[in-house]
Amino acid sequence: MDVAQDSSSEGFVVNWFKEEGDTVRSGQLLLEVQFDKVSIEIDAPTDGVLVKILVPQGEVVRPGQPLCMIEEEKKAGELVSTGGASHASQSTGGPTGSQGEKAEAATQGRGRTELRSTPAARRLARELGIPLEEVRGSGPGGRITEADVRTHAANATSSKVATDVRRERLSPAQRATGQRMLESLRTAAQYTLGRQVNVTALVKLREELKRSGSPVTLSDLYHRAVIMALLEHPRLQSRLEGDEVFIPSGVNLGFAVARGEDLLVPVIRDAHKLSLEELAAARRRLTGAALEGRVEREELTGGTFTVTNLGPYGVDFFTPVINPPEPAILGVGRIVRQLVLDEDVRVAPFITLSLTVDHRVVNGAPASVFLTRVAELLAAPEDLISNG
Amino acid sequence: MNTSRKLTMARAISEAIAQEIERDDRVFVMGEDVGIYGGIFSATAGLYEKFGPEQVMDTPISETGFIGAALGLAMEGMRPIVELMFVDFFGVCMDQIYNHIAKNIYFSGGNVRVPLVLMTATGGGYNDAGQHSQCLWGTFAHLPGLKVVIPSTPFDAKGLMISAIRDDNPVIYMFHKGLMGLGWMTLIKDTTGPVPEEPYTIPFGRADIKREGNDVTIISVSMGVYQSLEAAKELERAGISAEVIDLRTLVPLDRETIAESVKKTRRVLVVDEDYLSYGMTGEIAATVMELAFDYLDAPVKRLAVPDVPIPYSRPLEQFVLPSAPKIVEAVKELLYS
Repeated sequence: MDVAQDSSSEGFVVNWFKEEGDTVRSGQLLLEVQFDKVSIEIDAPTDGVLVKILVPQGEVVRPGQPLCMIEEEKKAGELVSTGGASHASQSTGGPTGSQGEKAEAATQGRGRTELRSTPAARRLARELGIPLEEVRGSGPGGRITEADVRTHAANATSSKVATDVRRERLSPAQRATGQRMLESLRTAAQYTLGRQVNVTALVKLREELKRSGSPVTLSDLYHRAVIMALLEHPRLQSRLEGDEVFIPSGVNLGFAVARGEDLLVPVIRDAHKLSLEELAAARRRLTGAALEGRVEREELTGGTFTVTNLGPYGVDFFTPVINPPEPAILGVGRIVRQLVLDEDVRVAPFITLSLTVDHRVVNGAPASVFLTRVAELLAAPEDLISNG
Repeated sequence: MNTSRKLTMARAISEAIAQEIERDDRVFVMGEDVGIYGGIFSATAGLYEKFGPEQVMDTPISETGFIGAALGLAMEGMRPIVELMFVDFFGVCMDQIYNHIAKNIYFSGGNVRVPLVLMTATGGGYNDAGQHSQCLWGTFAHLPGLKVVIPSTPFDAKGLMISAIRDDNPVIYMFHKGLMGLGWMTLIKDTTGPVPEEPYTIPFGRADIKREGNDVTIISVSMGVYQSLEAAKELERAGISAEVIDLRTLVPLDRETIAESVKKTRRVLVVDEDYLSYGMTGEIAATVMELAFDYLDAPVKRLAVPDVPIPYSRPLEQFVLPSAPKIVEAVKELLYS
């Protein structure tokens, strides 16, 4: 029940394990809710009968929102809500508050035709010509506020579209990612540097490792190079706060993982302390957990730098978006065979690195020095395994 | 006007009365201990020495008698300021106040004027129990025929008192004991405020926005204004911008300023040291419904004394009275639920 969430965060109900009318025992698993890609199990807080499910499977929930009504034996219904945030303590705080919630939860249950909205919301909706049915309410019991109408209006520019267009609600994960990326682009002065690296030696090294039965992949070698370069240029992982930067001495390395269309960034903690093999093991474990939805919330936070590899998707160069509050992110492209013109003409494998940096923290020249160092380590990869 | 000089509310009131006596010799004061003692809350301090017993008159403990006398004098052309020591004592003289002072102008078809100021002390917070701690302005505002004036600062106290004295209709002027700046009863940190030396008036029915804000409107009078301002400072630290409106007069009520503020902030909290039910908070809530319904983004919230007599016990009294922390809490509930 104690789900600490930002008041802005949003989740959805994954599963109900009880149906309306079922008897529930205190502590019994009631439902599963997913917030920010992390699943949370919610147990029944009391013995009783589950009289009403207020948020059905698949519907969006916000912290503090009532989820269901449980009628204790011979007592009035009790509301289960997602706890943690300030909203929760408000809506379930005082006796009058929860009484009110009960009443409205009950009315909602009867028909779902009753749409609750504030006068200010109705006035604005009228002025903008927005049907209130289309607006999602964020107030108590789903009450639509003026801010909800404004948000809806801002987002609904494309609502009047041709009939052959299908409408789909964004997944909570996509909304969370989108919000984060928009926030990143709004707040950081981002620019991207590109650089090619001849990876002949790196590819060879990886093949040798593979032959010797090592599980280390190219990704791990990229990670290793980034970690080593970061230890020499720690400003590239500093966190900006006001007029100060906080520069960590160690590295918590985030790496992007695609799960279907969703994006997750698990974080390898204290990555600078790990050997190449340990790094590979950590990457494997976290990737597996992310793909299976088992990754812990803590494992998705606290990164100091992120690597994102779109090489497997055939991308050469791109402009990654910084994962706040980190100041930079490194994109890795696919391996391409190109002609090399020195003494003679040869063909060699190349990758392109795309380094996006926050100009508020690091300028172009020092960022280039860092990128060059990563490139050097990848081009001559002996150091990557030396003290591994 | 020169506003560098600071006075307590008690001095601001007695100065206003003194200047009006000097301006118009029909003006005089009467009441229990208003003369030699200077008024038990010092609202008439120094006046007896200045004007003598003819114009600053001590009366017996007989409210019906001397308030009735003041009414008669007012009807005959004098301009009395009569002090009811505690508003709580209105019970023994309510027939004079309500059936005569408030109604004679109507009964006479407007032929008889009653230019009378009924000055009285209000408010609790100092353990004086249920017969000495009430505000009751809602009671007087409810009854037609009386103007109800409630100053919260020394500046307002002087201007509103002069307006009250010059008004040809009966005015009840309700000061808060804890705001008077008395050495023996200080309920707020700074009891002095800038007061110009020369006489000035403040029109009735004109609320004062004591602090501008955008997220919520807090409406109050008297001590509640101080508590609201203190709460607003605290709320500012939490990123909430609160507007604080001091109504200054309940009759006439500045409904326009209330509505305009709600149209800006969309949310209202009414804070009242008077009782909750059938009072000022309800009247404001109704006003908001009537004039600004389409702008509300949350139900109007009320913070007032629950419907019980003010307790003597300090913890119990503090429990029923509004306070800055209670206002902060109420605003947060208003904004986040």
